[in-house]
Order: sequence, then structure tokens, then C-alpha cells
Amino acid sequence: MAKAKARRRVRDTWKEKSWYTIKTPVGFGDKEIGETPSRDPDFLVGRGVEVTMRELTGDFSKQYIKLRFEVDNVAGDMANTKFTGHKTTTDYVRSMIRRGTSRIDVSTPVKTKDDYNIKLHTLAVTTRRSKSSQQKYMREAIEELLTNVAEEKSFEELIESTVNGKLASEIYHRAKKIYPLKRVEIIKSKVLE
Amino acid sequence: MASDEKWGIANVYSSFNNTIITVTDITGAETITQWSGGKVVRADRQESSPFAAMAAATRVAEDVKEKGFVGLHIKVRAPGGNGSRSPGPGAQATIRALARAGIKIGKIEDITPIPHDGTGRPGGKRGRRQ
Repeated sequence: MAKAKARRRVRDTWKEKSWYTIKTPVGFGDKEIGETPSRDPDFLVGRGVEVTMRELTGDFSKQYIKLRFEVDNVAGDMANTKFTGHKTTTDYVRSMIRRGTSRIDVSTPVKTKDDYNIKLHTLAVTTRRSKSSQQKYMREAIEELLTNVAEEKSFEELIESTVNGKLASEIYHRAKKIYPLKRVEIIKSKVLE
Repeated sequence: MASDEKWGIANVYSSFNNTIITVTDITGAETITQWSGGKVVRADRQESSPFAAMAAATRVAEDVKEKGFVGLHIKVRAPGGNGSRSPGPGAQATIRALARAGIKIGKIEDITPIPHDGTGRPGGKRGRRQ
């Protein structure tokens, strides 16, 4: 009896809710990602969706990149989003790291040309174990490169080059002069308020 | 993705003591249905069993279909933190049962929380003893 009552109550609120379509920002093609139910459009702001690159571009090799979009404003039954960061999946990061190599993590807050603050988390994997002095030097080099690159780019350009891996390969070619590298990847980014 | 097909996320928390399935919309803000191993079996020790997970998953499938969802993305999670990092026995059974119930399965991902070094595991220096 109690169960039947509870079920009925749930169903009632469900029917009140209407569906809103979530769209990616214009920089990401203004595509429809999916739908979310809500009782009031005001509740939508701040909700986040994670989308893989494969869903956006259809590129199977980029399945491990997850982009996060948060609802910024609602127009009619369309919810427009803004980009708030990206992540790579844990299993992908773990597959890169092997024994006998060094893992070098660099977290760099950068500022773009149009005054956006973004935090980029770079992961570099060496071919062999490197000395900590080399690691330190490499961290400094990566940090410097990222700060310089970001200063010249606008927010959208920087995000694009981060997500499609161009920035990572730029770092690779710069940092491999310090110590031979196997992989460089920007594993995380976050748009700071 | 076609716009007339509704997708959701099945958050599967699978420990050695229970399996909890929470289905939300793609943002994770709206819960659609929630079932657990403990809701379908009597005995406490069976809460985490694959059978209980299967029974819970079929009920989830019913609820989800009724509300018009065609597919679910799956996020599997073990206790994590200082606990076990591999999902319990119910995780696999859940995914299987959902697929068999005619629900499309999207991406499957492991979202076990892994600490960047946190508190120590319980048990002390000499391990757990009686």
C-alpha cells in the first residue's frame, strides 16, 4: 500500500516536468547533445553534461576525451551551454603509465588573450626513468611554453588546440629536447571563474 | 544522436555489500528511478549477489521504459577511496540484465573515486585480526 502511494506521487511530479534540449556552445558546432527534464527553466542553469569527443565529432580515436558543458541560459525549450573543462578517462591515463618510466604532471593556470583564466593539467610520460632535476626542468619548460602560447590565443582557439591535441604535440616537441618522451597529453582543463 | 530518442545515465554503485542503481537524466540532476539489491531480496547477505542486481536491473528497465527512455549510459563505481577499487559482483550482472531487458547500452565507464593520496585504509599496521 505504502509502495503504491509513493509511486503515484513520483509519477505526478514527473508529468509536470517538461523536456529541454541541451545544445553545445557555438564554438563546438551548436549541436544538440540530449534532453533533460525540469519543472522550471530556472532549475536548468548550472546543470552539467559530459560528452565524449566521439559523440561530437564521430572520431573513434578520441573516445577518451570527455568535455563538460554547463547550462548557461535557457531560451524557450533550448538550453545553451558553455564549456567548463575537459577530462580524459581514467583508464586511458592509466594505460599510458608503465613501470620504469617517469610520470610528470604539470598543472598550469594560464591567461588567454581575451582574459579568460584556464587551468591546464599536462601529463608527460618519459621513455625511461628520469632524474628529478630533469623532471623539474621539464615542468618549468612546459609551464613557460603554455603561458606564452595562451597569451597569444583567444579562449576558443586555446580550447580547440587543447582538445584536438595540437597543443600537446607542441609541448612534446619542445620538451623532448630535455628528456626523451613517450607521450604528452593534456589530461584535464578547467575554466576558472 | 537522434533527438527523439531519450537517453539517461545509470549510475551503478557496486560494493561487496550491496548494489545500488540510480538512473538519472544525462545531466545527473534529475533522478528517474532508484533500485538496489536490498530492495529485491530478503536476506542481508544476498544484497550484493548477482541475482539481486539482476532483479533490481529488470525493475529499473521497466521504470525507465515507462518513462520513455531508449538507452542508458552506464557509470560503474566501486567503493573507492580507501576501500576496494574493483566493482563488486553485481556490476556485471546489472549491465547484462539491462541489455537483456531491451535497453540500449551507450558508453560504459568506471568512475570509481581514486584518492590522490588521502587517509589510510582501516586495519592498522598489523592488519585486521580477530
